[in-house]
Amino acid sequence: MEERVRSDAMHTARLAPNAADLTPAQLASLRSVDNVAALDTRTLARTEIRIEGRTEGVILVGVADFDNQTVNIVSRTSGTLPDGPNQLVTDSENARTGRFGGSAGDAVEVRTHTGGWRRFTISGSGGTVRYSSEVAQDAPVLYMANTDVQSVMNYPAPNSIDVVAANSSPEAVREMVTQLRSILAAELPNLAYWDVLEVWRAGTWPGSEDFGNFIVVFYVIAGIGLVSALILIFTTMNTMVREQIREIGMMKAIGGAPRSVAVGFLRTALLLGGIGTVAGIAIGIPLSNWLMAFMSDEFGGTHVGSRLSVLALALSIVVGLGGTAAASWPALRRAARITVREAIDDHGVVGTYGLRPLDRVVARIPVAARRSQLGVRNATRRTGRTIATALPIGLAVATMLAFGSVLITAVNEDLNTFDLEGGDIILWNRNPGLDAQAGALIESVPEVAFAHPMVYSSVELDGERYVWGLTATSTYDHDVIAGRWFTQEEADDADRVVVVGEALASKLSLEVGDTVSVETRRGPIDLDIVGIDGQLVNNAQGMFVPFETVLDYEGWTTGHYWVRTADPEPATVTTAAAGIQGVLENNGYEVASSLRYIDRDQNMAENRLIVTVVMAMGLPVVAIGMIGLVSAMTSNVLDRTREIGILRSIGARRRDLRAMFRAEGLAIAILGWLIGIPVGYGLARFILWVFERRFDAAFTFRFPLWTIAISLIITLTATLIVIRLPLRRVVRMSPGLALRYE
Amino acid sequence: MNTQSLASATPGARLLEIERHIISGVPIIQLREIEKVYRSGRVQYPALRGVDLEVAPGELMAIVGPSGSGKSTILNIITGIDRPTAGSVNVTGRDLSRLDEEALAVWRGGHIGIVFQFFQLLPTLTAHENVMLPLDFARLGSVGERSDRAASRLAQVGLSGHLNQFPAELSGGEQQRVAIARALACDPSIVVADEPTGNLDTDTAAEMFSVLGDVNRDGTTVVYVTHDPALAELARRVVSIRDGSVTGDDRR
Repeated sequence: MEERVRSDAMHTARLAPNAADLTPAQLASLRSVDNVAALDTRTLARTEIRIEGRTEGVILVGVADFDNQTVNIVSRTSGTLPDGPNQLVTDSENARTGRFGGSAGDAVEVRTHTGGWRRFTISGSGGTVRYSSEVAQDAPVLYMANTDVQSVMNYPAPNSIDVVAANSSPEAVREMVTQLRSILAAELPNLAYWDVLEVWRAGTWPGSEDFGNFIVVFYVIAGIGLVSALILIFTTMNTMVREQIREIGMMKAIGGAPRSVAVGFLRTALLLGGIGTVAGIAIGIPLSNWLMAFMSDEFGGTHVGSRLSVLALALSIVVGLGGTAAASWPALRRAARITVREAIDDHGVVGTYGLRPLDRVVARIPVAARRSQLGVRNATRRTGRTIATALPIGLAVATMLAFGSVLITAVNEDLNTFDLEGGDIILWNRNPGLDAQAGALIESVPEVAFAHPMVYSSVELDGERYVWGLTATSTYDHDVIAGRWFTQEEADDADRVVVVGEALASKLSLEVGDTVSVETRRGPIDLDIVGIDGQLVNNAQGMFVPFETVLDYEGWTTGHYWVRTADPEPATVTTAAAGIQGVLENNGYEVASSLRYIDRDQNMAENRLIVTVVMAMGLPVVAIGMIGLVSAMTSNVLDRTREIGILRSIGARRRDLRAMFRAEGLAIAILGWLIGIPVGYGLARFILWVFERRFDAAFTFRFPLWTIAISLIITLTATLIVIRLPLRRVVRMSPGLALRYE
Repeated sequence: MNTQSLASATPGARLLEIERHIISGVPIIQLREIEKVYRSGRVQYPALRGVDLEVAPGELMAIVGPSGSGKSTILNIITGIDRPTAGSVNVTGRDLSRLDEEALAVWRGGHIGIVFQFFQLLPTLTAHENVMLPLDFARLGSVGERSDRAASRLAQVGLSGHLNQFPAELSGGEQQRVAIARALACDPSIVVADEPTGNLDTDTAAEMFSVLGDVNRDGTTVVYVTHDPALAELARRVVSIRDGSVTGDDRR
């Protein structure tokens, strides 16, 4: 991604003036500022396109000169770049995400500022990392000449100055921006800004934060997978030594030195580790490339090509072989220390059952059927093996629970935002703006229960903060944990008051009664803190200001509208939206609307996709746990072959044996599950702690009991499936052969 | 679960079965021209070479012979643990060749009690649970009835005070008594014992034989394998085996 950021010359800073009508000399003056490596103007706008009779919101990105781009370079992936008016490039992500499938040669109708439609031809597809990311996050992106965007939207001049800084340190960028602002203030005295300064630190790009969080998740999964694999190697090598104890004794009896015995097992371990490493690399290379492609698409809005990291490859080999040797060490030491006498006397299983306090405790576990009782007790005969088997299962359960918890917490926060807003429809401000008369018209629609104006804004306060301009009685479901919400009088008087989110208050040590100074587009203002909101909207870092206050300090006259319908059912919401659109358009208002249930569904679909991917990545951990269980159960069957013969001799049927070994497998799995619950809880807490630090947020931790129940069902089901193999071995044993087995 | 009433497996029922064999003159064990060849890779080892043997109900019979002569193989053939390579096996009126492994397991559970050389108790079960196990497998009676039956069998072998002890807490002799109690749990028509005293000292071995003698006096057919001539002398019939063939059949 960083290569893409460099090759696309993604801007370090973006100033958002309302209209930067700059002459070539003025532009040259800006480009001559210290630390400016490249500077371009562009025009950004939101409008709609008409596709097959329906309209869809789009983002128009203007380019000063397609042939001489220096910042946020739009590169072509098919067709050509526009070489004249009324041509556009569709972002490659539009088609990939299914938002807009137009291709070179197709005609597109774009809504103009008059409400009419202007026809464009798609010359090709392409994109640039900064704006391609908007496709997945927001709306389809179309690139066209700056002049075309300006004429479509009736904008007098470009409204974005994109700058690449030579030195991207915060101090250097701040200094550069100060100088640019000062030149702009001198050259264009009436210039206002429509958005706050956008700055990208070195190594960041749109989606990089989510990308980084996802990487943390994968590090955790990889770590758990590695630990599970090492435990599996440990148990496998121990089993191997255990099974070959007689051969070891024999080798020693005929003069084999402990060292040579251990080296023999080390060779075997390294051979297995080598095979595993090669298989892991063979699976890992395509998997990691697919994963990177998925994540860059999902979070960066761009597609990165396949590649192979030599460092990662070397590390895999070192960990694969080194880890195998390290995990085999206890088994090698055991092999070296086994005496000839010990080997000769070995009879497979511990013959001292009942002497340990644990045996007495297990004997008291109330299990109805004797066969199951036998299985449960057998699970504790080789305590070390049972724990070594249960641990990877526990880690698998912990992975399931932890990621379940994290995802449920995250999804819940996400959905909370939709629920807390309380609106079913958002009506976006257009020209003319949605004033009080528009509000009355909206409320005249029968399906509408309640509508109020609101506005989204942002200010600078230790970073960019979202400001919600709301009425005193809005649909927003606030939860004031200190102070109060602003009053109707304060709202009417456009008082400079604010309710701040809990996490923001905590981060900046803000309290009710404090006055906070924030930087708006039009300069600094002071806001009196009247309350602290405990809801988690904007990760509890939002600011809630009276609607009139925001209009006042932004210099705006109208805002958007939130509408609550009489019934949140999609049919009612759709009918209401159509009714509102009709009544407003009949009265000369342009309007665009978002139906929240659609946004919510889209959000849930994206969340589901991420959940699926994370779950899929956790599968190897589960697989390792289950392979360990099969291996341990097979060893247990071999250990107790003679016992199986005895049981058959005294009348045990196949189902009796199955029940016995099934109970044993389930007992080990339940032990693993029990280990997994606290580990999963701790892991979930840890991951959320990492996320909270990254986000500067406070999440409501969720670890629902039903996920514990589901993890038990999954564990038991997987156990019943995987132990079929050793069970088959048990029931197929001939009693005669079993009794003669040594 | 299908359970059979314990009443149908009481000593009375067993005696009826034995009487049926006596009246009909049919031997309870009948081996005809039994051959058994063990194979290990390309190596073939003939364990039995044309053994004919008939055992009448209620007999107390010892099988003697040197190590590797085929004594244990005869017991395994009688109990259906091994199948003969050739010949026919009829035990308690059943042609064992007609039974599959599952049916054999069920049949063994109901008709045969086996005492192994190394006791072979389940180490994770108490003495009482070990004796209950064959009753559980045979689904005989209710859990309470099985428990009572197991306790009475342990009392029969003099272990009523050791019900809740695990095998590791018992002496070798006590373990073998539990093994005998387990063999008797389902009131089998036949008890077979493979070197039952091989791991015991002389006094304990004598005690063991006294128990087996009591079982036989109750009408149960007892067949045991031993390489100890003194213990063989305690039987009323001694069959000698050498190199897989019967070389002597001494009735007293």
